[in-house]
Amino acid sequence: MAKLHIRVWHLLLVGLLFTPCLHITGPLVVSAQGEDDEVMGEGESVTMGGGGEEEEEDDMEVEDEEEDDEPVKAPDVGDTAVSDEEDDEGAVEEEEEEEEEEEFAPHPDCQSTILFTNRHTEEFVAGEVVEAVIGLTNTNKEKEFIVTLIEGSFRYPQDFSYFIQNFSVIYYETYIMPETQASFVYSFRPSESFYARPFGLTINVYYKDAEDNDYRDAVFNNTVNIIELEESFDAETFFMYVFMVSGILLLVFIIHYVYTTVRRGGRSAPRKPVETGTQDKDGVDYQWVPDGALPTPKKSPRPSPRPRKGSKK
Amino acid sequence: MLKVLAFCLVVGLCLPLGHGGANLIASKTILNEHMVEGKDLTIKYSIYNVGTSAAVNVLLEDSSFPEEHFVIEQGLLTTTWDRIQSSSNVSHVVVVLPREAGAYNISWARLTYTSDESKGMTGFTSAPGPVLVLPFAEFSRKYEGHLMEWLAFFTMSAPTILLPFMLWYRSYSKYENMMAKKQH
Repeated sequence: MAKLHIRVWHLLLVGLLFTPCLHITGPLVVSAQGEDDEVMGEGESVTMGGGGEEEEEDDMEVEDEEEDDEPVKAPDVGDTAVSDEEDDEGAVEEEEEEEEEEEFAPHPDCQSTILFTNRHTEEFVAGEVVEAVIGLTNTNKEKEFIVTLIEGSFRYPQDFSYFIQNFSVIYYETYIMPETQASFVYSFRPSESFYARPFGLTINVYYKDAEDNDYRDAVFNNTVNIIELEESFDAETFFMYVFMVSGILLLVFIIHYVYTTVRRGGRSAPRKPVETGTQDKDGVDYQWVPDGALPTPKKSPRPSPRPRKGSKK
Repeated sequence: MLKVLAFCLVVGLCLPLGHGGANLIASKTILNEHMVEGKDLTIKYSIYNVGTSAAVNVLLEDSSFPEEHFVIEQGLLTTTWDRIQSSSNVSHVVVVLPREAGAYNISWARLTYTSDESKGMTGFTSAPGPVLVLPFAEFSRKYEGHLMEWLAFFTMSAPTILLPFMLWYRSYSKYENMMAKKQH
């Protein structure tokens, strides 16, 4: 029985000794398994975070910068390789775009013109609204056309199948009668985040005839330049100057404060014995009490003890 | 390649138009930010001649402001221009006054002109589309200065500041008097 007890104790001790090892090895194994996952997880989270930030920065309208980078690879690798490299969505988008371009074409009897009314040159300022008037002329003598929608987008100038910024799609259900003209206003705002570089601008008008045949007319399909805003009053620099001036003022204030306190410290040295003098009179510093609030400042403390003493004696 | 195609497309579209004489495109825009009943509504017509020759006998007619809903304050809803030179533009402004609040569909204006080839053309300006004219009360509540409301606010909040000040001033002046007496 005693041996059994000893064995049990031994076992327990051994168990106690090994428990830390178990504890150490246990999580180690788990972490060894989990490390890859964690790393993967981190990597994913990083990319997710990056993607999110980009989306936030780009203000919804602008698509991810990835698309800017991808076409740079395109000339080296070739079209097929790019489509392999791309994520599925991009490939699908491109295919759709190609299909669209194959399917829709303008009707020969419907001519279009476009005029940018608030800028004379084809140079748009980043962040400023561009207004365009689109004119459609139906020269057909019997057919009428129904304008369904107008859309515009900025594309990558080297490859028009890459979208950089999409503009609002304006839906119409407007008839253009035979031998008449119609005008439409389309306005858009290039994103403020665009740097001065060329962009491919495409403005498409979609219309159909009475037999529901769809047509698309690229009213404008060309490269335009984006120029940066030349502001006479720049808020950023103004507030930079305000900040600098306030910093200088703060410095002056600090210097003034330090100077005056040092001087006051010199003055306050003789005052100190006055403060210690509070211990003299009943532990009360009468200097703090305004003079007017003391009804009889000097007479009251002295006469009071004498009559008391006198009365007691 | 695409660029060349696009260029060809643009040129191809422009060439037939280039020989087509005058070509007018016109926009009709509302200049007001807020449309309010009983307040001016400014409508601007801009006509651009993008053709190669002048347009003659240009007639602009707008029938989208009926008498029962709008008062014509300034300008004419039917105007004519004898001639609009090529690559030039004209503007026309009309001020109307919506009689009552509500939703209106402000549609296109009709433009008729003769090209140099004595060929009559009919065109339409762009349409501002459906707009909402605000009732005056709602507009003033949302966007006006609220002077009366601020006055009422100040009169109502004045006691909370003035009463403590009065109390303080009375005690202050009392002690000031005491100090003055003491000095004399």
